[in-house]
Parts: sequence; structure tokens; C-alpha cells
Amino acid sequence: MEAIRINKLNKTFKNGKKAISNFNLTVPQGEIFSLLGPNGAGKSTLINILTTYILPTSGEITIMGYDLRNESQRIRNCISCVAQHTSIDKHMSLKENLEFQGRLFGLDSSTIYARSEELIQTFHLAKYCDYKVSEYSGGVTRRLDIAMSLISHPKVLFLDEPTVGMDIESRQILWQMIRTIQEKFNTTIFLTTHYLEEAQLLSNTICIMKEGQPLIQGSLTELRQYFNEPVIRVELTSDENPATLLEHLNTHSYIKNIRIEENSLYITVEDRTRDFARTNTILNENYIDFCAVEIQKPSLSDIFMKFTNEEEVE
Amino acid sequence: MRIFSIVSRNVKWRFKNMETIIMTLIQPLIWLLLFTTIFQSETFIGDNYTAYTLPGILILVTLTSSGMSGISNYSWKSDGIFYRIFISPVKRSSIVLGHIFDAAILTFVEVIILFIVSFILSVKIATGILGFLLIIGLIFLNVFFVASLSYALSIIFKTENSFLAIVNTLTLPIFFVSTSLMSYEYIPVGYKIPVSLNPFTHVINCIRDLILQNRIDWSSILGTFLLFLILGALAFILALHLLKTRN
Repeated sequence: MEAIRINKLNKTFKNGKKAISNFNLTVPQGEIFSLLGPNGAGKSTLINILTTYILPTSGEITIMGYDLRNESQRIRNCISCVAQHTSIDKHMSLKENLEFQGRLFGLDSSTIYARSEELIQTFHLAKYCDYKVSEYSGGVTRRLDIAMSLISHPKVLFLDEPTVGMDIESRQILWQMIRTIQEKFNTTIFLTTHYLEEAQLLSNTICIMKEGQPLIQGSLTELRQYFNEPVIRVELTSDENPATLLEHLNTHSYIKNIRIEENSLYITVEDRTRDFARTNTILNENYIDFCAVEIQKPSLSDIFMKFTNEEEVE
Repeated sequence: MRIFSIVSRNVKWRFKNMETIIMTLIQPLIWLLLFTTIFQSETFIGDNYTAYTLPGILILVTLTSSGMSGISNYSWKSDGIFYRIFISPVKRSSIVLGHIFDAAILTFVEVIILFIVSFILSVKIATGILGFLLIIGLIFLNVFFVASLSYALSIIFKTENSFLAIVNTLTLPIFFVSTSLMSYEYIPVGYKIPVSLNPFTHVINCIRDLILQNRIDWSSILGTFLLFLILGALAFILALHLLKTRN
């Protein structure tokens, strides 16, 4: 069964700005679905529509089989959302926040108590119960935010850039928790993120959108099929400047795209074997110190760059 | 039940932020304690000017506390509470009612304080317990109307400053263009029509009669109840409509 089905969705704001244009999408039940896109692509607008926060201009949306326009109350009963900015009441304690969220969904006291205890354990929040919520770190606040969103046992959980501003350790803990949510509660997770690594690690299905329209949708393996161009990764030594190599590479026409991440260059080329040799020659002829050079499968970053840049060229 | 959860959350917040009670109470208290003495000789001939002006000051307290109640919507929005509640299966009417009942609790806390101070200043309610209950009923309908309007304004105006500007601009003119401080006969001719058209004038007159007169003028009381029932219903429908169609 499909958890979410979107058909010909359009959203135009009062100022005339078209945020979503003729958008079609399906999300199977029980999946982690990631929506990627550059800033202003329409991701947050889409989440706001799907969570019933704002109304669409036109189009059909069903969530868990309920029509968004006519059965929004039923939809609200089976969804929850962790928004970009945490929505915790700093004047209430951790347990009061969980209780308040439970009450909003009409849960009785015993259910709220049982679920709160379970969530406090699952999200390792027990040791924070006695502290003021206003004193929590960003990571703990985010964990409580997600725990609150799960107290109603939603069938669909929306996570709008949940790891923004978190350190690497907190982010990894959260990734593990997202997997746990999917496995333990069989929740469909609709995730928007800026971190391609996050989408690559977590998602069953990925959709890349730009300017209010989906560009491509599928599993990472399926997306790779659209991207046949090989990628050569060159990792430079710490004292070597990537800009120097970039300057030499830019004079060669076989190179289609270059992406720099820290001290590594990801070079999209035409021919795997021929261009690997050419790249090695350039490195040797110019006395560039490197630690590694290898042919890679295209990463999600390469796919993302290809699709979002292609659109720009058009 | 879900209204109760929202009200209970708001009341907890309110009592942890006592300044929100104190700030809206200061102005009416100053009127009651200070200005009643200053204005007495010019505008009133009678035994107790405090008793005479108490109805107007009670309405001033509903205008300041319930009128300002919409401001909490802005902190709700910035803290994400509005979003969390809005996407939950709580009825939209419960969200507005939760706001109104919170305003009612705040207003009645202040009304009780004003009554206690007034009783200390020798004010008595001539119509007794029944009169007191009718006063409470009238004030509640006032709160319902003003808090609904305040909620509607908080949806219309995107920023807190615009909201504050409009509420502050309206509150004192409404208070002055009424019989709150002087009897109708003393009001300059040019102001008599707007004073008569001000719905709060009728509440003030009713409460004043209940405090000062020994008999209850039921036709006046029921007429004012009906007027504020209609105004309250219209304001509530407006607030609900704006909440549902906000974009």
C-alpha cells in the first residue's frame, strides 16, 4: 500500500510565487523516503502541505488512503512531523511535553505513561528527565522533539531536515534512531535533507526535486543507472592544494565535471579506462602528490549535481 | 478534553510568566486607585466615584488582558507550538476556544483583584449575589468577544509589532468613548452618538446599574447579553475562519 500519493500538485502563494508545479509522487508504506533538492526547491512547502499546515492550490493528495482536502482530520490522526526548528515547550518538563503531545492526540493517561516510558528508553532520555528542558543541548532537544512526535504512534513521520546544526556524533545517533523507528514502529518516514550522505545511508527511495518539480525518483541503485559516467577520485596529500590540480585538469576536454570535497577531487569522465590513465599522467607530469587514485561508482552527490546542474544548463 | 489540555498548558505558562498578568493589571489598578480621585469633582456628583467607575475599569481590564491575549499566538508560532498543535487532530474550534478560556482565566484573576481592592474602598454591589453573578456573566461575554477578536487579529497581522500597534490604538479610544468615566449627561454633544454606538457602553451601564441600583433592569440586562452573544459568535466565527484559511 502507498503511504503517500501525490497527483498533479500545484502550490502558488498569494504573492504569485509558484512553489510546487505539477508534482507527482508516491511513497510506499514502511519506507524511508528522502526528498533532496537545493535551497528553494519547494521541499518545506511540500512538507507543509502534506502535514495539512497549508492548503494546496490544486491537485490530489492521499495519505494512508485519506484525501487531504476532505479528510484532513483523519490524516492528522496518523501523521506527525519533526519540523526544521524544534517545537518543544521550554516551560514544561520532558514528561509534561510528552504528555501534552499525547493529549493533543486524545490518548488516555495510562497509554501516555506507557508510551512515554518506552520512548524515554528508546531515545536514551532517562538521565535528562530531572533537568530543565531549556538547558538541553541541541542533540538532546532534537531527540525529545522526535520522541514527542512518536507518542501518537504515527503511521507516517515527516522529518524536515532533522540533523541541521547537529554535530557528527549526534547526527549518527539520530540516524540509528531513524532506522530504529522504521524497524520498531513500522513507520513510513518522509525525510528532507541537505546532507546527501544522510539520504544515501538511510533511504529506500530518493527523490531529487528542483524548482517545485521532481527531477528523478528511485532507489540509489536505480538512480545510478541514470548516471553511467564513471567518476575518478583523487585524494591529495595534506600539503597539496586541490586548486593546483584543478587548474591542470580544467584544460582537458575529456573531463565533464569536478567536485572537491576536503582534499579529494571527484572527476566525472567519459571513458573509465582511458581517462583513468590520462588522469594519472597529469598527476605525474605535474609532480602532484597524491595518496590515492581510484575509479568509483557515482555517489549520490554526483547524481545530485548532475541532475540539478543539467536543469540549470537547460 | 483537548481544549482543557491547551488551556492547562497556557495557564501553566501564564503563571510561570507572572509579568503577563501584572503588566495588564497595572493600568486598570492605577485608574481605580488614582484617577477616580482626580476626576471625581469634575464629572460626577454622588457618594462613591470608585463604585461609579468600577464597571468602566472592569471593561478596561477585559480590553487590556483579553485584547492582548492574541500576542501569545506569536510566541506559539516562533516556538513551533502553533505548528505542533495545528497539525495534530485537535479541532480548529478547540484551538480558538483554548485561547479564549485562557484569556478568560487571566481576565477573571484580574477582575477578582479589582473587586477586592474596590471592596476595600467601600464599594458594595447593591443587587447582591444575583447582581454579582450577572456581572460575571457580562464580563465573560465581553472576554469571549474581545479574545476572539484578538485571536483573529493575531492571524491577520503577521508581526507582533503590528498586532501591538493596532490593539494599543483601539483600547484607550474604546475606553474613553464610552460612559466608563462619566455619565451620559456629562458627555459633550459631539461624542454622544459614538458613545451610544460603542457596545461596551451598554455593558458598563448594565454593570453600573447592578452595582449602584437596588433593582435589576432585566430588559437592559437581557438586551446586552443578547448583543454580546451575537458579537461573540460573530468574532468567534471570524477567528475560526481565519485560522482555517490561513496560508
